[in-house]
Amino acid sequence: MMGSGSERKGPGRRPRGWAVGDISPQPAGRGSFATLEQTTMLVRVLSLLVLAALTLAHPFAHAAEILEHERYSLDNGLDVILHVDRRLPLIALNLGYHVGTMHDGEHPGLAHLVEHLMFRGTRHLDDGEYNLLLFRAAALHTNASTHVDHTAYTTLIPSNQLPLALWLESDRMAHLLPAISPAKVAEEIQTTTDEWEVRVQSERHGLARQMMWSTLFAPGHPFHPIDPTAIDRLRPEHVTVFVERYHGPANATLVLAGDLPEDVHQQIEHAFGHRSGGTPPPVSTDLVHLPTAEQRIVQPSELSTTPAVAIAWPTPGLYEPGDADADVLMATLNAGHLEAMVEQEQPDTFLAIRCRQISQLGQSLFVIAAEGTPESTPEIMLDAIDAALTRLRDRALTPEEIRRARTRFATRTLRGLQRIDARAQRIQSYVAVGRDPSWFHEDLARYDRVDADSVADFVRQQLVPQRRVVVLSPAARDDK
Amino acid sequence: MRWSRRNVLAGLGAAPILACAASNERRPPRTPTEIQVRLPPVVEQQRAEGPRVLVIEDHSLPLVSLVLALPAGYRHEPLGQEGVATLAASMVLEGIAGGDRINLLAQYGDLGGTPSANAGASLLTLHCTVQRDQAPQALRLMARTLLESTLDPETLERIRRELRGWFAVNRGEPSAVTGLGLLAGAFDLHPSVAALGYGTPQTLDQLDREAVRTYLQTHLRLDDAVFLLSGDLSESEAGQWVDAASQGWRQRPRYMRSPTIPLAPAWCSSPGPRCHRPSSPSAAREPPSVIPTSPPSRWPPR
Repeated sequence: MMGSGSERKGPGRRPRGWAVGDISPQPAGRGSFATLEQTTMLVRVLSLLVLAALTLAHPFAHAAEILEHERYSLDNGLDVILHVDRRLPLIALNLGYHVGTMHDGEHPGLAHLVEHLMFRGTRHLDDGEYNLLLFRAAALHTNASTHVDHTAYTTLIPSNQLPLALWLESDRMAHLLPAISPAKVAEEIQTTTDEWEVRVQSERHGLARQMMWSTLFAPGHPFHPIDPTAIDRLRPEHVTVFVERYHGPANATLVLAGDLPEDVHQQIEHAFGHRSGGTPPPVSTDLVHLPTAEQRIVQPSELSTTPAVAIAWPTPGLYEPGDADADVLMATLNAGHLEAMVEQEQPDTFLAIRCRQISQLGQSLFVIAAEGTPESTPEIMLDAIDAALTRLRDRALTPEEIRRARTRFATRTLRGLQRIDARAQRIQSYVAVGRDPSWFHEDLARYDRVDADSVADFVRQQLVPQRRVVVLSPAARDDK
Repeated sequence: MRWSRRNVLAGLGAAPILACAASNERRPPRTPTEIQVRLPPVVEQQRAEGPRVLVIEDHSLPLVSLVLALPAGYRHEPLGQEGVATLAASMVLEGIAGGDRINLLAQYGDLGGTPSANAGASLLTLHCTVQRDQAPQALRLMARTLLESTLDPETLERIRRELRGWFAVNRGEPSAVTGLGLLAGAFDLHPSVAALGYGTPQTLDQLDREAVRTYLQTHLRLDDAVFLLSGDLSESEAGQWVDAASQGWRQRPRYMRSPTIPLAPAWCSSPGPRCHRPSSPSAAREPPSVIPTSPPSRWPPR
């Protein structure tokens, strides 16, 4: 029986992470019969304690149970997290290597390139066979994603297909390199460059966004954006070094969520127990970069017939103090408030305006992005946004509006955990920043501490003019 | 190493084991081809006031998903009023008595929910997911949303403009033109079904607020309504919440309705998009077989 944070001690498994206290019954004291008065008093005190506990209980009192899990390590260092959810006969597999774009070093784009190559065959599987076998096993959502701090490989399978999914992941953990050829590397360099084209070059405001990131994070910073020239310089030998160094059980976390079989531990040991290797990348300590003066850039769009403005501020990193305030501010403003405020300042100027808190390890960004009518200009739009920000610093948002956004945010967070693959992903993202899955309760509780004052403080302290980067994008000229 | 009899025998004995291990390393394991499916049990109640209640208990999250459904999909549209169901669904969230859209959404926002309305082939539905503590209030608000909708004329014009724009875009889409033509011509379907619920530019121009109001009122009958509640609730709670939401929802006189239109031609063995001729060649390629099993008594099972 797997319990919340329970620790299994058996051959090949070393307990780690958090642990709840011993819940085994305490041995009764010999000859300690309580009197009737003592018993009555005890019952009263206990009743009061229970009442107090219920009154003070967090609204998500059983939030800790939502990501109830077991965590342990194999002897080779593979971190394993199991979350049982028997609603459907499915299992979400999420294998995360603790290496991401921030570890590319002198080879920007390398982590993403390796992610692509992981689907191109192994010593034992032909190119494309990985996907084919999972497809035949009725798997869904087979994919991978490269993040700043980790790379996750995911699939959703019928529970009786777990041995196959584990074998496939174990196989490519150990036997990827013999299948890597210069031709495959060249093809995937082209594919990742194509992805950049789609995401940046072909997006109406993609280049403006790229410019915003480049200005905030100079070359050499782990968050400096990647461009096709850097991708084109990647070579097979870079892939070899990367995979040999980072792809091994000692640098990976396997999350399984869903209808786990009784012998899941044996299956994992059988698939991964004989693997070895994997070195955690060096810890980046210098992620915080705070500009000291406003930087304003004009980046005309070649694709958009409407003007646009993007403003970005560096904000506290993921889960740091201030991160939850930024989330609530975003939810409040996006519920129509920001639109109403700028409309009041400059009627019929804006087509759309949204804000976003991009939370990431060490250093987040708060971004306001707006698109104007063809008749407006980026400068007029910026004036209206600045006027709205001044009102926000003066506590323009009411406690009711903040409370509403907070409730909606909490509901949305819970809704995001309805699917088991979303639960596996949430667990993996906690692990990636050094948190335990049981931290979910504390994660939700952060939002309870947000109020109108703390949000106004956040705006006053973080969204200041001297720290921001402003990208003004005049509309493309219509030469026809 | 000495070639003793014992060593040779040990080597011969170990060889198959090592070969087997190497084989396991090279080849993926065989897994079953059948998939066991356990569907959550659905409990149905018929309340005294008339509505049907369908309940799925799922206590894995402190959430309840609420759906209020009326048999007022586009197959129920009167002749010549194709598109009225979609218009009605688009307008119910535009404000209720005493407040506009912003005010209505703020009321849902207070409960942590974001509502949505949709007109499908058979049903007009209002949907909202909230935390369980807010579910009774949310259900009451959903009933009020349908009963007290203001059906603002200006909003009607805006939505009509958007739908016209949609038609204009689709006129340039070869696949849409082919699809609609195929439905209308080859299948000989009713115009409202062939238009997939959006009506036609002609019918859309003719629809007015009164037509939408009459359509809604015709179908806003408590004894026709279906409440679908799933999530962190019990059967008894579902009944109580529905009864509370139904208060003030007086039975209305039964209006004359249009006949319900069949969704598919008579030769179809089953209605809807899965309809196919029995001798379809695609039947030869079957997906992995699915074995339904009886549901457990509690959901999710432990």
